[in-house]
Amino acid sequence: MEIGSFIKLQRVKKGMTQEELANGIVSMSYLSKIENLRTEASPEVISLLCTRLGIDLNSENDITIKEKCEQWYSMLFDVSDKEEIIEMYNELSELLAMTRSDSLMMFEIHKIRYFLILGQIENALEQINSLNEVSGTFDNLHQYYWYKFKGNYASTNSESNQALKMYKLAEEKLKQIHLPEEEIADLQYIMAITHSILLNTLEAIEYSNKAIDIFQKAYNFIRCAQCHIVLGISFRRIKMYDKSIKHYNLARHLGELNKNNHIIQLTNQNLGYLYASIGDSKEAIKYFIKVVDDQEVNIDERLSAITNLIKEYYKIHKLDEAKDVLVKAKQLLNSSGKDVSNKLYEYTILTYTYAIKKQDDLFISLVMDEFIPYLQKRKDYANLIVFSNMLGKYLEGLGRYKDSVKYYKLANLTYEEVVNL
Amino acid sequence: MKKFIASVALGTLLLAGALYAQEEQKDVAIGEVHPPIFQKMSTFSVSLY
Repeated sequence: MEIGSFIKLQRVKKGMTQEELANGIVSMSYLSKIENLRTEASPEVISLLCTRLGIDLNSENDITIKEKCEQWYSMLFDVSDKEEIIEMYNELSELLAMTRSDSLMMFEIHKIRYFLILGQIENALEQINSLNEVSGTFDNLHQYYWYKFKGNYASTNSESNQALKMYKLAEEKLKQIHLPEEEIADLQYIMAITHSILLNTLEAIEYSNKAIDIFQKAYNFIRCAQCHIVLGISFRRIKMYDKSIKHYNLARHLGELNKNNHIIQLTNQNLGYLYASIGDSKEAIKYFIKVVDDQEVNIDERLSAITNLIKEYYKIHKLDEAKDVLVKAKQLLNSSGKDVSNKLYEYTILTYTYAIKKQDDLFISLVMDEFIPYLQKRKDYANLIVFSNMLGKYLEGLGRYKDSVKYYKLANLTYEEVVNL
Repeated sequence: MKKFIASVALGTLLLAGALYAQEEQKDVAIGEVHPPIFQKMSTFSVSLY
């Protein structure tokens, strides 16, 4: 990293103005020129500026720092033990605060991913904002990770359109730099997921296949399994069910080989969804039960499976089973604490409770006045179709034909919107 | 002149609206559950690296 960029980065990090740093050493305009690489300052000036910034110019330690940084980046890539990642981060932060190192800029960029992995989303955004000021001095490698991690931030924030823009910019940079194949495959994998979330099915297939080729060569079975899951989702969407099931089974097989329960249950969850979507409730129920009964699965995924299970029992009129599952679902919901994302499950559980107990007024007011507006606001089209249809059917059963048509129509319009996406 | 001011004001409003809409663009919820974007460590992960 150029010394001017380094001084600018350190000054911004320490919250100093150009005036404060330049005071008594050089003029502010001259400091600006140094920072923007429009002039080369004398070693004396650089030394004075660094002393004021509290930086040691002796770069003997730089090789050690570089090696440690590489080790830390690799930990971030694998998302290995979080305590180890934090420990190494603290060590590197201390070292880099005292020494002028070429690794500093890359370290600062990787901090975005570090904060994301620790779930500190606001810190990640703050880091992005503070790096924005110096992003003009990034070289191609810096830019690659800058775009990739900004994409990771957008993905974490459920902004997949923005994430995809960033990943495409990172992909462009690949032409100008040389990176290990697994890093390229990682970008292709996250692009596959992002395309899949945005319902760009063909692109999701293309990127999954590209990534899987590399992960296979590297024997990275977990990533292979995750790619097979994306392929399973994609082929279901284009109604190639046999192919979809084949990919899910491959994913599960790899999950079992690696004793990775997360992969196995993710496969069961999605297989349940596949069978539910083709009207095979019996098979769907079988897979949802596997997820629900597994205590190791996180509560959010169990809640998703249990609400799907209730839907299937209700669909095939097994109301006693549905009642039993509803009791279990309420217990699970209570144990999960108050989380905004649980609102969907809360509404779903209440909706089926009222529907099964035939509490007409409660059912209609809940679905009509609260649940459907909530789904519309969240753009949850899949559930909007299910519950508009359910309300339409319910109102039809009560002889309220005019109202029922309104909700059948809402379901149809939503369906059209999904198809047009 | 008034027309000009009105059209500039309208343009600004439209642009602000578009930028706001772009900022608010969140993902559409869908049925399936996707794998995470960050790699999870596995107890039996086999890798050449």
